[in-house]
Amino acid sequence: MSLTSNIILPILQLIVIVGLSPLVKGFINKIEARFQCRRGPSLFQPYYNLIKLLRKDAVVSETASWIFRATPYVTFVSILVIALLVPVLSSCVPLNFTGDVILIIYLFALGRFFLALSSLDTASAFGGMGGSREMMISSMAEPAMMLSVFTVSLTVGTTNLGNITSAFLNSSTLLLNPSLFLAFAALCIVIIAETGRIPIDNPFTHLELTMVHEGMVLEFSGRYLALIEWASGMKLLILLTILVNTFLPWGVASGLTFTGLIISFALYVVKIGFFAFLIAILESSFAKLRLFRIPNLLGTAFILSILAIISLYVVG
Amino acid sequence: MTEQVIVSSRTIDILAVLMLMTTIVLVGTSRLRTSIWAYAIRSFLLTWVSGLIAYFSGIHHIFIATGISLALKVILIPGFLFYIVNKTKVKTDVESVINYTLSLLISCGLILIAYYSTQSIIKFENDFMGHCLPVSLAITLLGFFVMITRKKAITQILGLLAMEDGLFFAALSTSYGMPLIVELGVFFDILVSVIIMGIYVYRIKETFDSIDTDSLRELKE
Amino acid sequence: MEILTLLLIPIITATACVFIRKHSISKYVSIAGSFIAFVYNIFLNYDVYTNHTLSGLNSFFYLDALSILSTQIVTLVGFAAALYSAGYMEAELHEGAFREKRLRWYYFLFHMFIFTMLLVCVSNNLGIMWVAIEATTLATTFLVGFYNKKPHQEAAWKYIIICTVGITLALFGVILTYHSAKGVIGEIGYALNWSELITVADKFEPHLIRLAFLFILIGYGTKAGLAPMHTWLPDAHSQAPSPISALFSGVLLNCSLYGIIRFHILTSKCIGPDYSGTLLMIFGLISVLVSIPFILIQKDYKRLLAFSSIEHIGIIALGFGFGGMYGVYGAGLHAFNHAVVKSLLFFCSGNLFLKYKTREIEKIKGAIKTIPITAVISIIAIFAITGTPPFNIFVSEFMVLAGGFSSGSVLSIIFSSLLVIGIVLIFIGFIYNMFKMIFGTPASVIPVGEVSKFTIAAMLFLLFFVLVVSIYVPPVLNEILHNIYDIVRNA
Repeated sequence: MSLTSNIILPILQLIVIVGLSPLVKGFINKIEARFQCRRGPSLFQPYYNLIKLLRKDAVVSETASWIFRATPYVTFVSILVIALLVPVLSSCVPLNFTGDVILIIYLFALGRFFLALSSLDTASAFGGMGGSREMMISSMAEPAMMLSVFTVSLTVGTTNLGNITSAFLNSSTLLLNPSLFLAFAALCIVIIAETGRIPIDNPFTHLELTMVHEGMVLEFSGRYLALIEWASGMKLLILLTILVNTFLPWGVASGLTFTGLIISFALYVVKIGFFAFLIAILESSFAKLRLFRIPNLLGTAFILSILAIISLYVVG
Repeated sequence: MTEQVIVSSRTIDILAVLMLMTTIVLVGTSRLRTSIWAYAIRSFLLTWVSGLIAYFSGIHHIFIATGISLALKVILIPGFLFYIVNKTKVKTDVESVINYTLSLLISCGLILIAYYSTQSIIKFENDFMGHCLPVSLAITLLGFFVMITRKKAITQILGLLAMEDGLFFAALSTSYGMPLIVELGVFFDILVSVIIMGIYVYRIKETFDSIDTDSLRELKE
Repeated sequence: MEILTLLLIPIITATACVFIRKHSISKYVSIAGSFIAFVYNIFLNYDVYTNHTLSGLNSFFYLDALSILSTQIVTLVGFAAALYSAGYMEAELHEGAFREKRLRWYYFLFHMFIFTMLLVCVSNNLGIMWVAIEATTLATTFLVGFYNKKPHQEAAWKYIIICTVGITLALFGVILTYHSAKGVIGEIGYALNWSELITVADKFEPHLIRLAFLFILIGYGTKAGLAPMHTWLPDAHSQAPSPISALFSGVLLNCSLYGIIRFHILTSKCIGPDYSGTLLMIFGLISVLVSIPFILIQKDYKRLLAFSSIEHIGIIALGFGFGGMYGVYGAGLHAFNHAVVKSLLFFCSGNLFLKYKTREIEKIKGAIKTIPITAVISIIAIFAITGTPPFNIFVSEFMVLAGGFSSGSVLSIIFSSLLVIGIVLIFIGFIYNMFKMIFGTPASVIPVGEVSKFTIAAMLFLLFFVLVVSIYVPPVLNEILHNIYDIVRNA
C-alpha cells in the first residue's frame, strides 16, 4: 500500500461513515413517515439537529463527576476508531495492523460502559434504569454477536474483517454455507438490539418508563448530546457496513483504483439503503416488545449463533 | 465433487437450515397465528427442497409428491388451521407449561443433540447435504417438545405437523422419499388426522369453553 | 384377487350402511356383511393352510400364517361385535343416548375400522401397513367420542393425539428400514415389501436396524397399549361404546402388535433374536407389572377390563420375546384366546351397563338375579381371563411360561417368575372386583331380564370358541401356529 493510499483511504472512510451516518437516520425516519402516510421531516433533518445541538451550551449537573464530561468524547472517539477498522469501500482496512473484529466488539463495549457509568453518575432515576436495562440487553446480545462473528472467522480462518471480505470476494461457494446463514440471522437480531431499534427499544419514545438507550442519555444536552447522537448514528451505520460487507461483499473494491472505488461506493449506498429500508419496514410493522419478552428474542439470536458454530464444526 | 453439485447441495442445506429457523419460531413465539404462518413457511421450504431434489436426482415421482405437498401442506392445512382459529375465536396467545426462555434453551439442547447424534452418519456418507439429516431430526424433536409443553390444542397439532415434516424431510434427504404409493397414503393420513383433530378442537371449545388441554382432566384413576 | 375381495366386503358394507337410515334394516346389513367376511376368511384360511403363503395384486398383498391368524381374529370378533352392536346400539337408541341418524355413521366407521385392520394384516408393503395402522386411529376417533359428552371428547382427544404421535415415531422406523433396504435391493418400488425384505434382511446395516426397531417398538407399542405408552388406553376403552371396546381390546391391540412382530422377525434375521426379543420382553413385563395396581384398586369395571388388556398384550409380547417353540406358539394362541375372551367380557360389561346405567363397580349388585344368562357367561369368562384351568387362557399362559422357563437364559427365567407372581395378583384383583357385581342382592328398582337377544347371541357365539379351544386346539389353528413358529424360527 502506497503512502498516498495510506492517507487517502482513512480520510475517505471517515468521510463516508461520519458524513453519511445522519443521512441513514434521516432516511429511516423519512420511510417510516411515508408508511404512516406523513410527509415527515426532511432527509437532512438529523444534520440540522446536530448543528443546532453543537451550537448550544451544555448544561451539566452539579453532582456529575469527570466521567460525565468524558463520556461523549470517549464514545465518539471509540466509534471513530472502529470506523477505521472495518472495510467500507475497499477490502483494504486502514488500521489493518492494529486490530481485528474482537477489538471492534470491545471498542463498542467501551463506549457502552462509559455511557452506562455516566447514566448512574447524575443519580437521576431514569438514567440508572436505562443503564441497567442497556446492560441487561447487551449482556444477552454480546455472546450471540461473538459467536456469530467467530463462525465467520472460522469459515475463513482469520479474524480480520478486511481479509474476511476479500476471502468471500474470491470464492463464491465459500459464502454459500448454511452456518453462515445462521450467523447472518443471529447478527441481524443482535444489530437491532445493539442499535436500540424497535422491537427491542424505541428511539423515538417520549415515555421515560419504557426508555432504554434514550433513558441513559436523558441528562446530556448541547454539544455532549450532539456527540452521543452522532456516535449512535455511526454505530448503526458501522454495524450495517459490517453486515453488508461480510455477507454481501459483491462490488467491494479489492484494490484502490478510482473506478473501483466509485462502483464500490455506488453499490455500498444501494446495499445500506436496502437494509435501512428493511429496518424501516420492521419498525413500522412491529410494536416494541415488553421488556420481559426481550430475552426471548435475544435468546433466539443466541441459539442461532450457537447452531451456526456447532453446525460448522459438525458438518463443515 | 463438481462445482454444480456443491452449489446444489449447499442450496438445499441452506433451505434446511431455514426450515429449522421456522421451527425455532414455533418454539419461541407466543402467538398462535405466527406459529401457523411458521408452519406454512416451513412447508413451503420443504416443498422447495423436494422440488430441487426431484430436479437434481431426475426421479420423476418426487415431482408428484412435491405437487401434492404444495397443495396440502402449504395451502390446505394452514388454511384449515386459520379457519379453526377464527371459528373458535380463541385468545391467540399460546400458553406454555415452562417459560419461553427456558424452552428456547431446551430446544437449543435438542438441536445440539440432533447434530451430535447424527455426526457419525454424516461423516460416513461424506458431507453432501450434510445438514439435512441433523435438521430433520432436530425438527422432529422440536415438534415433540412443543407437543409436550404447549397447552393449547391447536399448538399440539402444530407440534405434530412439525414432527411429520421432520420425518418427511428425513425420508426425502436420505433416500429420495418413500415409494410413491406409501407417500400418497401418508399424505392422506395427515390430511384426515388434521381434519379430525380440528373438528375435535372445535367440539372441545364448544363443551369445555376453552381449548386449553389442562381442562381435560376428568378421566383418571 | 381373493385378498382384494376380503377387503372389499367391509368397504361395501360400510358404504351400504351410510345410505340406510332405518336401524331395523342397517343392523342386518352390518351383520350380514361381517358374517360374509368371517366365512370368506375361513376359505382363505384353507388356501394359506395348503400353500403356506398367498399373495395378490402384483404382490401388493401377502398372506402367511401370521397374517391369517390376525385376519381370523379380526373377522371373528368383527362378526361378534356386529351382532352385539345390533342389540346394544338399539337399546342405547331407545334410551335416547343419540339420534337415529348418527347410527349410520356408527356402522360406517365400524366397518371402515374392520377394513383398516384387515389392511394392516394383508399388506405386504410395510409403508402401507404404517398407513393402515394410522388409519385405524382415524377411523375410531369418532367412535371413541361417539356420545360426544365431556369425558368422551377428552378420551377421543387423548386417543388421537397420543396414538398419532406414537405412530409418527414409528414412521421414522419405517424410513430407516427403507433406507437400509435401498442399500441392498436398490431403487425400486418394492423395496419395502416384507416378502422381499425378509430374503435380504441379513445384509442390512445393523446400526440402522437397531434404531429402526426401537422406533417401531415405541411407535406401534403406543397403539398396542404396551406400558408406559398405554395412557390413552383405559380412557378410550372405557368411553367407547362396548362393542367398540371389544374390538379395540381384542383386535386392534393385536393388529399393532402384529406390526411389531413383523419388524421383530426382520431384526432377528439381521442381528439375531436377542436384541429385539429382550426389548419385547422388557416392555411386556412392564405392561404386566403396571396393570397390577390398577386392577387391584379399580372402581370402574370397563377400566378394569382395559388394564387387563394391557396385561395380556404384555404377556403376548413376552411370549414372542422368549421365543422358542413354546413361547411363539403360546403367544400366538394367547392372542387368539385373549381376543375371544376379552371381547366376551366387554360384551358382558355392555349388558351390565345397559341394565345398571353405571360403570362403577360399587353401585352394581346381584347381576346373577337381574341378568342371569350374562352373569353365568361372565363367570366363565372371568375364570377364563384370569387363567384358571381348564379354560383356554390357562393353556396359552402356561405355554408362554413354559417358553420362558425352558429358554435357558437367566433373564427369561427371572421374567417368567415375575410373570407368575403378576398373574396371581391379577387373579385376586379380578375375582374380587368382578364377583362383587355378580353376587349380592340387587336394588329392587332394577327390572329382571336380559336386554336384547342379539347381545346374547353374540356372547354365545364367542363362548363357543372359548370352550372349544379350552378342550383342544383345532387342527387348523394348530397348523397356523406351527407355521408362525416356522416363520419366526427361519429368520
